Amino acid sequence: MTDKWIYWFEELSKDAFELVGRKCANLGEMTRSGLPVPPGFALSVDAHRRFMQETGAAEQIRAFVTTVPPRELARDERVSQQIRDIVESHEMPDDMKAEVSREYCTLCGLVGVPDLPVAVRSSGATSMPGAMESYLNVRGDAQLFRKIVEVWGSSYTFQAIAYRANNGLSVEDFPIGVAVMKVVNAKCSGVAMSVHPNTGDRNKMLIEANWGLGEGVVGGSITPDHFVIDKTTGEIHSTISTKLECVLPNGDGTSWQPVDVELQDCSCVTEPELRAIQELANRLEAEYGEPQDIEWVFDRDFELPESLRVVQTRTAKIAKGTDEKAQNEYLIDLLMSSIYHRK
Amino acid sequence: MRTYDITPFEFDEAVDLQKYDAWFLDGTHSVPPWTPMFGWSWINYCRHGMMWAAQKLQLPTCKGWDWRLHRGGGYLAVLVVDDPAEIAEREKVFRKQLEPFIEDYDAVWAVHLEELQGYYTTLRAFDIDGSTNIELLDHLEDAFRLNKRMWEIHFYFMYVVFGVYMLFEAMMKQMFDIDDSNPEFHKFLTGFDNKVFQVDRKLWEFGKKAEDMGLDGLFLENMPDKVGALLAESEAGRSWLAEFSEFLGEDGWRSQRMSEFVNPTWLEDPTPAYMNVRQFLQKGGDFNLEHERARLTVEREAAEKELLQKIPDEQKGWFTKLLRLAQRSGSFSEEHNHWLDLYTHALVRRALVGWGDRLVAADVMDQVDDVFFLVPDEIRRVALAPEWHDLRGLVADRRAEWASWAEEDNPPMMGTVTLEEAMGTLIRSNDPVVLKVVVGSFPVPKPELNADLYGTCGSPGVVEGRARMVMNDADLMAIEEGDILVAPATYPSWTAVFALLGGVVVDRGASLSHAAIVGREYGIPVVMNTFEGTKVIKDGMRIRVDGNMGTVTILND
Repeated sequence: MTDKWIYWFEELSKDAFELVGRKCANLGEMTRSGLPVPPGFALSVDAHRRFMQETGAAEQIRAFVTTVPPRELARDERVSQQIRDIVESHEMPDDMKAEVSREYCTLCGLVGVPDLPVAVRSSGATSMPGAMESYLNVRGDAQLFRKIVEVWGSSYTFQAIAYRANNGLSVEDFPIGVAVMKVVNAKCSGVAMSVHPNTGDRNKMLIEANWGLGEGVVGGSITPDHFVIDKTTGEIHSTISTKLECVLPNGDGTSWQPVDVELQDCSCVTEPELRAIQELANRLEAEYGEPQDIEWVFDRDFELPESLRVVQTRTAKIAKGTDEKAQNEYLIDLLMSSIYHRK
Repeated sequence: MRTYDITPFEFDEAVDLQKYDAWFLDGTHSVPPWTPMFGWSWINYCRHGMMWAAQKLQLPTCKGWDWRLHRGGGYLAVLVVDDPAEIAEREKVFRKQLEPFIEDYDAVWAVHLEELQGYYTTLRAFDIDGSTNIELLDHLEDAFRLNKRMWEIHFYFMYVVFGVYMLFEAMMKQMFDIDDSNPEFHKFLTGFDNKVFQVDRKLWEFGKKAEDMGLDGLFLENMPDKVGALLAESEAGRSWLAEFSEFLGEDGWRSQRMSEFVNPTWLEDPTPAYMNVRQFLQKGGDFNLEHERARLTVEREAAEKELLQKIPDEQKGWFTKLLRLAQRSGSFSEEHNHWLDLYTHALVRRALVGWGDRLVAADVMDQVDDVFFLVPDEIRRVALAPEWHDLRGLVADRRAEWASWAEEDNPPMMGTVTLEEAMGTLIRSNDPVVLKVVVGSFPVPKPELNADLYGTCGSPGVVEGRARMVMNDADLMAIEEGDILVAPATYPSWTAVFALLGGVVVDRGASLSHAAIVGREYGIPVVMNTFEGTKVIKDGMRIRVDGNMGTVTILND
């Protein structure tokens, strides 16, 4: 492998997805285009491979996998947990630790906060939403080393294995990249779709938001505030929900915590903030040439417009099938999600 | 008489409120109260058809409805599926079941319509008068089998078709912020030819024909029940009658109240059809039903064109499909009454009247109509040796009880929870039929509008006129041009009257109920679900009907 296996976001572009995984490549692309991404760096896919080889984890897993029928590998959570246990039983080699520590120190210095809370996120070369782990609010060297190893281990969750098995990818050898980035001091966060996801209406965009960190929105366990913005007229259609809980930093991690009574029924995003998201979404859509599905957050430590940060952006999934079968399928999807489904 | 004499589906408070929180009155179909024979048939076959369709389709969140009878009223409770694993399993099958409808709705409908028409032809050909009791009993069983099958097909379509309609409504709301209380919305769905309209058009044409033959005076100067005899007196009249009988032989399989057996069909007594002809004649020379429909068609085509221009190109494919399917839904909602409920009920009635005649002849009971106060097992009991039986006492008790039911209204809901909680259960079912036809949305009083009645919008527009209370067919006679019809609900055989009306107010129903659909086709305001319209409004009052706001205001007594 090459000597270089840590890259700052500004060194990357979207073409680097084989080097550092899709999420890191995207973060790099956004950073380079001047979009408000929290500062941070990426561990390359090779870093994961090197860890697996140098610690002997790769060999152990290969030996274990031969004892398991391939079908069970993708189905049985206990089997995948055993693989993750193998990965997590190893420490990162000391020379790798030293390099991670050096870059982390640089990041802390950049923001001016010692033991800066960071997010450690998985970044596969193939997008597998929700299949692998990400950790928030990680502080200090020791914890950072541990969480990076755990993210590597999470490339063996049974969802990730099943995905690879179903898509003809290597089940046991599938290294991933890791993103290490500043955790924003989140006032509120959410998702934004630059096109209406149900109707594919490009004149409308949709924003969903909750107090605190983004896990409190995409997790789906509460009803977030819901905004539809007409991009032509600028009209905002708001549906404010009672938000009883949100996700906030808690010790070394995060947890669901109750929302103050007086904030539960308030819109968690102000109108100027919605406008900032709208502008950002337009910019990203123009940048990528396709409708985008964006994770965003407002950082308490900054004022608008600097307070708005992009955590992730990807191509929005909308109906675009032109053949008969795809259209029929899409109509059935719509019927299920809009009419016959349990709300 | 013990109520359990009628059916094991009689409402039993002690038992039936254990499993269900609430039972809703089907105000659209069972007000005024059903006769025992019709109640029996509904509770057996309509209930079966819903459960059959929900199971066949594997509707994800609903297994159909359970039904009970209470004082001649049908009460329903929705069988909600709550277990997420079960919902997911059902959904897999349901998606497959939806495919043929989405791929080629017309083909699916044609197959089922043909099946029913096959039964209709066979049953119509049966010679009632020349049959033995054994044959007539078989014929009655065949009619009941048809009744059962009709309800299966009825809900197999309705569950899908109303879901599609609701999806179109939801998409129009999301994309253009207009819902089905908006006049613009209905422009896309009206102006299609369908069987109900074709029958109305024939009646209108018979009016024209009467005019051409110099018979219009006869229609306008005499009450409709005298028209038949008077026509038979002249050459022209007999020629008109001959053509009209031919029409009735095909399309007269309907009685004035869709969900009953007790009223004669048009074939037996054409008075309501003569009344429709008379009403078209009253509309006068300028009125042209054909042009009315053509105008709606032109409006729809223009609206469609404009709408599709606003849809992004890559979305046009599925959206156009949805629009076409929603248009089919509108047609189905209106036309299924003719092809399914009305036709089948007319044929069951024919078999029952056959038995009525025979039991009167055998001195088992006094009147042909008494047969509607029996249940099928009682006919089976006496059918093959009637001389050993006397049903007079039973019929007298049932008639007395039936008359007493009409004196006091059935409650809109029976249950252990509040109306709001019960509505919550209904909404959880996601059952399109519950939401769009039978129960509908509950009106929200808006005191700032200072109206006398608050309902929901069935068809948009505002009109003032004289209220005409229509509690039964005979009341339709009094309707004049521009009147506002006030009724518990309207029935498919009343559609031709809509051409005369200024507006409609009904106690119960939702946006896919008969009054709403036909009101939109005829472009007149309709207010639904007022609950008390027939109590608060008195015959002859001047009222203002605001279909846009869903309100009724009394202007003077």
